[in-house]
Formats: sequence, C-alpha cells, structure tokens
Amino acid sequence: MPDLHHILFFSFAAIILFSAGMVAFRPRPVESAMWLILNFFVTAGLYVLLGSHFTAVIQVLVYAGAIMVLFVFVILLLNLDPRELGTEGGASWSSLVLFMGFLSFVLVALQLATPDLLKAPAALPEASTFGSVEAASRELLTKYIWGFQLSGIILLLALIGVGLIAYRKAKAPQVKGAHA
Amino acid sequence: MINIVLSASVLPWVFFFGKILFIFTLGFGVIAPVMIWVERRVAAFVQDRVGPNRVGPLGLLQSLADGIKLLLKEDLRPDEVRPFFFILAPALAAVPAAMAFAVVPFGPETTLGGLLAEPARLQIAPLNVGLLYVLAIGSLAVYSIALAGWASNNKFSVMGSLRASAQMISYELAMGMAVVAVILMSGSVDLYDIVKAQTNHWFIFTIPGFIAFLIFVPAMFAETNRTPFDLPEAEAELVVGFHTEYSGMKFGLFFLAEYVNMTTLSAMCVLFFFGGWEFLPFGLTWEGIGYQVDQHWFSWVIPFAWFAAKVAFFLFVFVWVRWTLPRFRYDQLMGLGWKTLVPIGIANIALVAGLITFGGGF
Repeated sequence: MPDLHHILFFSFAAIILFSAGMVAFRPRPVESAMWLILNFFVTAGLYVLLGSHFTAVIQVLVYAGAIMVLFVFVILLLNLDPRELGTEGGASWSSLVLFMGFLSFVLVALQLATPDLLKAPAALPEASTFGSVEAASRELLTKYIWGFQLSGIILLLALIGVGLIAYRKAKAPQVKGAHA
Repeated sequence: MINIVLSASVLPWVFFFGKILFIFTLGFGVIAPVMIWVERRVAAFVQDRVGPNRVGPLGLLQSLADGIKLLLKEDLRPDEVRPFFFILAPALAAVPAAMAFAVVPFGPETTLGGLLAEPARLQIAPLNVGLLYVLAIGSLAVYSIALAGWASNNKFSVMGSLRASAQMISYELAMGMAVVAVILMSGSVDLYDIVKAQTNHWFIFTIPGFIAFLIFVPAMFAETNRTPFDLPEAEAELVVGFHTEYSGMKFGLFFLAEYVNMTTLSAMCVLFFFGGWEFLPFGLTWEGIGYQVDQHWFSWVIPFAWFAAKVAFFLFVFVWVRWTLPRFRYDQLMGLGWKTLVPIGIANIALVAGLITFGGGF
C-alpha cells in the first residue's frame, strides 16, 4: 500500500528524470537551463523527504540560486543562436522517448537483478538531529574536515585562476580611456 | 467562550490556517496596496506635488482602482516574444515573493492564553533553517527578471536583465556576508532563535552588528532593484528595462512582487538587527515592563503591532531613499558591491569570530 511518502518520492523521481532528459533535448540553452533549475528544485524536495532541511535549502541556495544564475547570465550574455550551436530544431521527441524508454529499461533490469532496490528504504536516523544545521556542520568540521578544507582550496585556486586570466586580458592593449 | 466554539482537536488546525490567512491577507491584500499609495504620496511630497488624492479618503483607494484597471486591461502580447517564458516570468516573480513569507515570524511564541496545549510559533512554517530558506528563495527572484528580459525579445529589456542578474548576484554576496555575522552572534539560523538572542541586546547596538547593518541596508535596496540601485529599470535609458513589454496584470505581478519583497526584507532587517517584536533594547522587554504576551488569546497583538511598526519604518526608508537619492552609475554600483561591501563583510565576520573566540562575547 503506497503511502504519501512513496507517492511523493516516485513523483519527484519521475520529474527529476524527465527534466534531466529535457535539459539534454531542448534546442535553446535557456530552456535547458530552466529545466535544470526545475531538476535542482525537485532534488531539494527529495532531501526534504529525507528530513534533511539543511541540505535541501543549501541545494536551492547554491545550485538553483547561485550556480544556475551564472549559467543563465552567461547564456544571455552570449546570446547563443541555436543555428550557431548546431542544435537547431533540437533533438527530436522520438529521441526523448527513446531516452526515457532506455531509463525505464535500466530500472526494470535493476529491479529484476536486485529485488530490494525499489522497496522502502531502511529506517532513517532519528529525525530530531539528522540533517539539522548543527549535525551537518559538526560532521563537516570534524569527520570530513580534510575534504572540506580541500574543496575550499580548490575553489580558491579557481578564483585566483580567473583573476589571473582576467588581469592578463585587462593588460592587453585597449582603447585609451576605455573603461575595463 | 472561545473554548466552547473551538474544540481542542480542531484548534491547532484553525490556528495553522488562521496564520496562513492572516499573513497572506496582510502581505498581498494590505501592505502591498497601501505601500503603493504611500510610495506615490511620499514621492509627491518630496517633489512638492499633491499625489493621488481623489479615490477614497486621502486617495487611499487609489491602489484598489489601479488593481481593477490592471485586471480588466487587455492582455497584450507583442508578436516577437517567446510566449511560454513571457508568461512564466511574472509568475516566477510572484511565487518566490509569496514563498519567502512562509517563514517570516511575526510575534512571540504563544499558547493563545492557554488555548493550545504547548507554545506555538507565530510563523507559518517553523523551519529550523528559516534564515537560509529566505536567502535561498530570495536568490530565485533573479530568474523572473532574467527571463522577462530575454522572453521580451527587446534589446533594452535584455540589457535590463543582464544588469539585474549581475547586480543581484553581486549584492547577494554582500548580504550573505552581513547575515553570516548575525548567524555567528546568535549561534543559530532559526529566525526565532535570532530574535531570542537579542532579548536584552539588540544586534544593532554591537559593533559587528552595526557594521553588518550598514552592509545589509544597501544590499537590501540592491536586491529589490530600487533606487539608488534601479539600473535594471532605468526609465531614462532603458525604458524600464525588463518589463517594457509587459502590461495589464502581468506587469501588476512584477509590481506586487516588488512590494512584497520589500516587506520581507524589511522584516528580515528588523529580525536581524532590531530585536524583532521585543519592546526596547537594554532589557526593556515586554516582561520587563510588565506586559504578559500570553495572558489572553489576543495578547500577542501588541508585540505584533510593535513588530509591524518597525517593519513599516523600514518600508518608509525604502520609499524615502528612492525619492531622495539619484541612481548610481553602473561601474560605481559594481565597485561598491565588490570592492567595498564584500571586503568589509569578510573583515566583519573575522571580527565577530575573533570576539567570540578570544573576547568571550561581542
């Protein structure tokens, strides 16, 4: 007997798969970006189902709210034409249907191979602390401190790299008095 | 008397839906129309005019008349727009504005004078990550503007969208930095805990709190795209930018969303720095002056009214600043965001962290 949790989980999963397909199959980059935002949003819904509000909010804040804004910004700035991209007309609906069919095939195969996969997940940790800000940050700053610091350093390196490239460009000869 | 009407099992639900009804009626039905009227009257006062004064007493019903006009107007759609996104954009402006309202607390914890079994929060969704939720939902507002400009297929609108995206990304960072200082001082991302942490000690009266406030206020103006940061609209150069092609209720939704967002951010400002619904700083709390916030079922109204008054003041500041200051130049805007507010914000975080770790407090 499916309960509300299962109904929500499978509808979210279906939306995630469908929007992921649409990201790949829409001709215009802006449309793909919009589908990707929907994808991130519904993924946050999955985290809420798991009781992890913090991860859900961070998912929306970082991915849907920050990273995708940059994507959309760059797409708008470049003003890409589907003809230039060579994606005019996009992939056909039949390829989308084929893609969804392939995914369903994989799911059915997995179900046959490992019958436990689509059953209810094992009991989750106690909801009172699981996924709260305190619990997540404690794990992050004790158990996973090295990974956390390392990702910080990688981001810093990327930042310095961007600065370096932009600085080199800015030093290139330009019209006198033009503002950078 | 009320116990007889509402049995104990129904009451929590009545309370729950009552909160939703109360907050959304207030936000969309009262604050937004009244603010539009206030905006026009204050603008008129600043410019030595009279302003709308014909519809209703003092022109108060002007917004109602405008609303009816917008609803009944022909739904114009230029030929060259991208239809789906053209309609999606105003909806994307209104929905996050409404969503952010769900976690704004508007009064102290109450049992409604003993009607409820345990103290309940005057907040629709008692989320323990409320502050992050507001930031996350706020960061989605940029899509409506970006899409509106792109879907309009108008070069001025696209320019407006690009400016808006760049501006909102830049000032979100500054706002985040200001908010991190508040999180460090209160030790929580729960909006209720942030207010509780200020019971005796409003954050505005601490050094890092004051610096954070100075960063938060310009970021607040920039996030709502209002003067002096209204470059996305810039009537004179971009013919109001992203919503040039919009008319009727589609424009109305953008307009409504702007005022609802202003209300949310004003409420955040009061919650972060001005003690929420607490009476006065330095220990003069409601309990301190002998007022019981949970004595009768309606006792929460006084703290709520006090909170609303504080929010109203910041809403007035929005209007006041808009009609007093000229618009920034684009490079000045970016310079202020990235070279002034963000570095000060980072230094402020270091200051709070240092004070808490080594100074034992702030």
